[in-house]
Amino acid sequence: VNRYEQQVQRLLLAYPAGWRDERGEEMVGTILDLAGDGRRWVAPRVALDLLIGGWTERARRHLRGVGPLAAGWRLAIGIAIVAQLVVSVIWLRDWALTGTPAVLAGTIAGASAVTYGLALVGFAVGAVAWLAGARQVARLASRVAITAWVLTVVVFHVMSNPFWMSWLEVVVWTYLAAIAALGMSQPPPANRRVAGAVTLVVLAASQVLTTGVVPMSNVAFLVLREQPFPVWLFDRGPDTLHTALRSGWTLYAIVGLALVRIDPRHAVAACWLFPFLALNHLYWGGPLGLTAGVLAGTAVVAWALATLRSPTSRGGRGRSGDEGTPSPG
Amino acid sequence: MVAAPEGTPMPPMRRPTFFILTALAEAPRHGYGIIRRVEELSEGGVNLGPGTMYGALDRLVEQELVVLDREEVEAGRLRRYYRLTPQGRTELAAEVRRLEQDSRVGQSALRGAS
Repeated sequence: VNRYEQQVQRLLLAYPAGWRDERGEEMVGTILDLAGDGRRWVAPRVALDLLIGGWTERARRHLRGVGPLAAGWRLAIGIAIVAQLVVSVIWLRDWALTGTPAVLAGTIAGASAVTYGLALVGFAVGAVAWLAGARQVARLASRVAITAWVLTVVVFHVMSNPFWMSWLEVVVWTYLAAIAALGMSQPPPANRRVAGAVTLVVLAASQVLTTGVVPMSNVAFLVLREQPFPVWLFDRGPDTLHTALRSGWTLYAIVGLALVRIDPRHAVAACWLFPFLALNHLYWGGPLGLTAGVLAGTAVVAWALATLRSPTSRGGRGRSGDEGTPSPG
Repeated sequence: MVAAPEGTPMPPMRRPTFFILTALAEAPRHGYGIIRRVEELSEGGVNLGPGTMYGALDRLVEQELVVLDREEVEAGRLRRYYRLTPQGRTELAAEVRRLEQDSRVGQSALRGAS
């Protein structure tokens, strides 16, 4: 075994052990044939190709036997965790550059930053464990992460100005966008997309006029297929305390997804938000204008229509099941 | 992953998939042979890495479009030869027809525009 073959063997560790037992020898032979004689180092392109191939195979084995919708959810969670980590690194860099740790030290905001950091570590450990197939570790780490996340949200509720909140929102919306994009097996028919798009515009206009806030979670509701209520709790908890939304780029991503893959059944779920938004708005002392009221009323009508049109819808939690067909190649 | 249910139209194939099936339609080949033949058939347009090729091959085997033909040891290296199944041949023929039809539409539009 020469140095080149040793490198190849190490790169093949990216593949699951079962795959290596079955195909490893064959793969090594093919790579050696491709390299020709005299080559001492694996080309970067080949190394990257093997790493991607190995992790893809791991993911494929992990998702084998799972329906397309469930597989979409799992992939969404995996991608969202990676997205969260990327965003968090940016946030931590900003945090360090602006001297925020010193400002936050000993304050309640500092406590929330610590719990948030714990949540990130939990998600990271959980993601790696999940990809490696260590389900117990993944489950435990996820529980730690979720608990830390809930603590963070609770701490926000007693903070007057959670100024580093915008990055947190990016994280939440990244989750929602990823789940919305990948949690679906198929886009709904055109007539549903049109109905959903109309509802989306009405809801968006209404909420902007009512609260001055871009309706991130409403949009996400419209595109999510399942379990909108827990998502509402997840997103709306921090959002109701913070209205200086600065991360507009996520809106464009989510709106794009909504327009492509919208489903009016989720208008039902989105409309649940209006009483909460109105209460929130009144709590902060804002008036409810006539235009906003008319638009909100229109949204309620859209809600009723969506309910009538969707016999499977029950209070916004209608399920459409797995409809996707795996594609070849 | 399994093949689409009967009667469900297959979505268009990706280029690497198309060329792998084409290479195997000519003759059974091993991994290295597939990579080289795909490069030739695509005139250098499709350069498959080993990870990409074996990933695609695994999917095609699962979809029952490709099957293991035989194993040989050449110069101390294990080589597995793969061949197209009748179902794989049918899918490839359907894809060729689709490409021909698309090509005819494009050519017709270009003639009309000139």
